[in-house]
Amino acid sequence: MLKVNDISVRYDLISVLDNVSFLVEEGQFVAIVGANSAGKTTILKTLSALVSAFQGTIEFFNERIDHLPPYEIAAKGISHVPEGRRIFDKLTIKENLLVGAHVRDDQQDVLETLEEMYALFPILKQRQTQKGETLSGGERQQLAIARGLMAKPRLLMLDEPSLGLSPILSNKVIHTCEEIRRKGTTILIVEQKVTEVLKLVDRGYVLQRGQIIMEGKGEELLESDLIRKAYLGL
Amino acid sequence: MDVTIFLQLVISGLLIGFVFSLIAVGLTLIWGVMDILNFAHGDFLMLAMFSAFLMFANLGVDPVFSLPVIVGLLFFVGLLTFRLVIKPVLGYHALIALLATFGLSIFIRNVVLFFLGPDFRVINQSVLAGKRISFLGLHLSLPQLVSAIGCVLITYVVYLFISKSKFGRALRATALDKDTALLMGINTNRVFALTFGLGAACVGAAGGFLVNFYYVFPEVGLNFAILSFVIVALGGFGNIGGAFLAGILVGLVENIGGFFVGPEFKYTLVFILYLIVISLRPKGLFGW
Repeated sequence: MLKVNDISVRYDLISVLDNVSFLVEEGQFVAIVGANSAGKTTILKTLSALVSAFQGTIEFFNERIDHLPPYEIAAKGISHVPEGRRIFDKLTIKENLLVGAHVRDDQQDVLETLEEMYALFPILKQRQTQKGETLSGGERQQLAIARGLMAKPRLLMLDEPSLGLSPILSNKVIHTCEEIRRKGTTILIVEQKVTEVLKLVDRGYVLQRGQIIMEGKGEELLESDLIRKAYLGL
Repeated sequence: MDVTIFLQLVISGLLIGFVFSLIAVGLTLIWGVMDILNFAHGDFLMLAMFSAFLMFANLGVDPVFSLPVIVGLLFFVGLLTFRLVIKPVLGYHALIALLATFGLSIFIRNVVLFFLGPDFRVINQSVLAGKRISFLGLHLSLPQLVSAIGCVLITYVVYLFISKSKFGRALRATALDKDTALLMGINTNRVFALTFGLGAACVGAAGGFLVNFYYVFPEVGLNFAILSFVIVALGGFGNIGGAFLAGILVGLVENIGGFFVGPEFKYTLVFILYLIVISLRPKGLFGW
């Protein structure tokens, strides 16, 4: 469904992504893992057109989307949960969720999705009238994911959802992603928590200094020497 | 002091305060969403008043009936301003947009001066002109009363629209975090354009009411613009409810203070109030 071919991105003259190519098939849970500043966030920003690539193409369901503005990419069914959650602090939890459904016109269905989100994340229902700024880190992450899902996306992209969370919470968040995938949403996640994520995903890509240096099934990557040495210290 | 005089002052203050509020709501909307202070806001007011005056003088349309046309016209002026003046400088330093609206202000005023001259004009034969309601020794000018009620209603509708509608949510999301709003599928440039249109339509409605009891001349917008900057800052930048209450406060200070200290000092009092509030609460009375 998503085909990224040879994209390269520079910030000023510094190369951040260098000929990156990867595939996400429908229904899959795909991860891009790598250390800090490997370029993971830039990949998602490029897919959402917040950053433009100077070379390469991006196809979504066989249609080029690399020339579209961010809001049209969202309307195509790509939902991006950005790094740092980026909750709308002064809006209520419910309003945050409804903004997530901005691309949809079917108001009745939107309310049904809202109820589904409340079922998936009960804390959000309890706090629906509170402002976003009142939530804790873990709750903010739940809201950010739920807000991303409100669009009923065909592809959900998550940027380091575990960042800044305690190990228990971050595991919970990553397992929630697995649950969302089981319900039928395709997920592309970028993460530093290599072990936890690779255990769950169908396919993983390892990004190092802007280049994809390895790819394969999650379990295969976990057993590879590179991952064991570089990320697990074994 | 006679209670009747005091009540009369309070009522007069409220009546003009509601008009100030609507002017300031238009300004604070644009600021809140785009961080741009629109220096041409007063000139939008003048355009609205002149449009109403010309429709009355040339076509015989009473300002009460031309109001919807004026609101629509100013909405269009707002959209056009965004497209031609603001959009080209978006993404650059905010000062550039501010100076662009300053230039637009001078441009609009001088075009009107060139074509219509500097004379003061007044509509004195409208449906409302010269009528007043008297009770308990108080006198209410009907044009002012109708204008105040109209301005309150429109302010409330704008408030409801911003706080309850889907577009209002998108507008608030864009104001808080433009990039994330884009990721939610919000066309932020469209939100900006409509916000500018809405802000101009608010001041257009205020101008359409004001023309019923105020002189029209090319510089009429200046005083109102300066007062509305004060109101916006007092109410907290971008805060519609704050602008509404601060508008009333300024109307009251202007009228009551002007009576006690002298009408020539009425603006001095408003600015003293402004300086006191800003030194104690830099974010305004109702700012975040």
